[in-house]
Amino acid sequence: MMEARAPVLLSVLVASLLVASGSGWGSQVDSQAQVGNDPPSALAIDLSAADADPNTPERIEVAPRAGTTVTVPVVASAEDGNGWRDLAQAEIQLLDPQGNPLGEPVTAPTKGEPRGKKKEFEASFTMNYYDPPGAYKVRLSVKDRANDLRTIEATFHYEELLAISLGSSSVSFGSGAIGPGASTHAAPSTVAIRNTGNVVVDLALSATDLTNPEGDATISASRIRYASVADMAGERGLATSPPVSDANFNLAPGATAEKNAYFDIHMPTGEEQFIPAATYRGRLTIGAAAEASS
Amino acid sequence: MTLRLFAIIGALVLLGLASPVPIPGLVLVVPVGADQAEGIAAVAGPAALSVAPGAVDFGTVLPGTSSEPVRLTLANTGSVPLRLALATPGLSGPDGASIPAAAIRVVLAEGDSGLPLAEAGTNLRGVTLGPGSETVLLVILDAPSGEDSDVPAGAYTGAIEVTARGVA
Repeated sequence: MMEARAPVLLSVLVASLLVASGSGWGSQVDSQAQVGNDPPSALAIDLSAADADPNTPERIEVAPRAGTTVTVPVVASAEDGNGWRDLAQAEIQLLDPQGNPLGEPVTAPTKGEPRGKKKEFEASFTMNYYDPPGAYKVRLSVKDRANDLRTIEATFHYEELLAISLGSSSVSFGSGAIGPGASTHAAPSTVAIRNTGNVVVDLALSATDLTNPEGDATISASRIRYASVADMAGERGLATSPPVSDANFNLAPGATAEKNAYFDIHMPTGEEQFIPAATYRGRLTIGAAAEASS
Repeated sequence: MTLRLFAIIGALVLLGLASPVPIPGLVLVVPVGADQAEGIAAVAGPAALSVAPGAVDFGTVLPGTSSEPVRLTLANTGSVPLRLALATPGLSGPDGASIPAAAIRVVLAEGDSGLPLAEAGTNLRGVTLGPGSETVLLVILDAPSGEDSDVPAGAYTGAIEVTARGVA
């Protein structure tokens, strides 16, 4: 009887060993998911590097530079829930105060090392001295690999600049002697005036009296006459103070904005004052004046 | 009387089960001597597990969000109690992107936060599936955020392997 049970006991033991030994059975089910597209987010546009007045960070003010350009650095950031690699393109566009695009959009290169969802871009714009003042916008457009597009805008205020440059540093009324009582009216001296700002310019002119080297004789500043036309029509004598204004000079801004100012001198006679022969020198000041508001 | 036993042989016999994936069963056969009056066979199997549905579709999931739970019903259609483990290599997506195994978790009971799966397998501890019984697992995909990895939009595919071990 005992012998007859031995195989049964043994077989149960073997079964237990097999099951417990870890022999297992596997089944596999397919798994799938569709990861959706998370649209990009245009996060921020930082124009602070160009801000002329950091004390008012809420208002970015860019100051033009007379006769030259100003670079406006732009740092922009965007993120995408699918990861920064999903940000396929970033363009930065400058808009004028009327909202019109200025030039072509700039494909902004990546700034630094992207991390996680976020990527930074950098670009810059060049503002000309004659670009009109006003509120300009910088628009960041980011597109992801699914062509989802998002934009944001930031504003900077391009300030007014009233500036001129002069085509010559001196006004000579001629190398020849001018006799007492004579004038250079027929051949006035010319000074080219260039508008190097971004607003219409009128002129404010003043002069010192002209003095001989000995300092014992002067020619009054009022003897120097100014006109905005070559025939000296409407010429006006200058003064030391206050400056004489030409509210009709109206020199518009622009890349080639230039006009001439004309000067002549009416020499006093010996009858009027002591006027020894000499070279008389003085200082003529030509200033830019804001166009009078109508 | 001396028993003339020649050998004791254990054999695994694969039993194909209908739905949906056949699971091997175990039959232990003990041959007895020809002169044995009574044939004795100890049978420990068969063991069988059915898994339904045959595919887990997490649907559309945005990065950084979780899918709706997908019900996975495991039924022990055999006669051996089973312990279960799940394993997955994760999901493969476009442009070489992938979602790791740990982004898929299995919830055993309502209110559980769930166990993340692993490539090497995650044992569902405490779950012993008796013969004839079934259990429902909730499988959830936690799509990684773009903060953690590149998860481009698109279709991701993979597999989940369900492993059953007989319990003695």
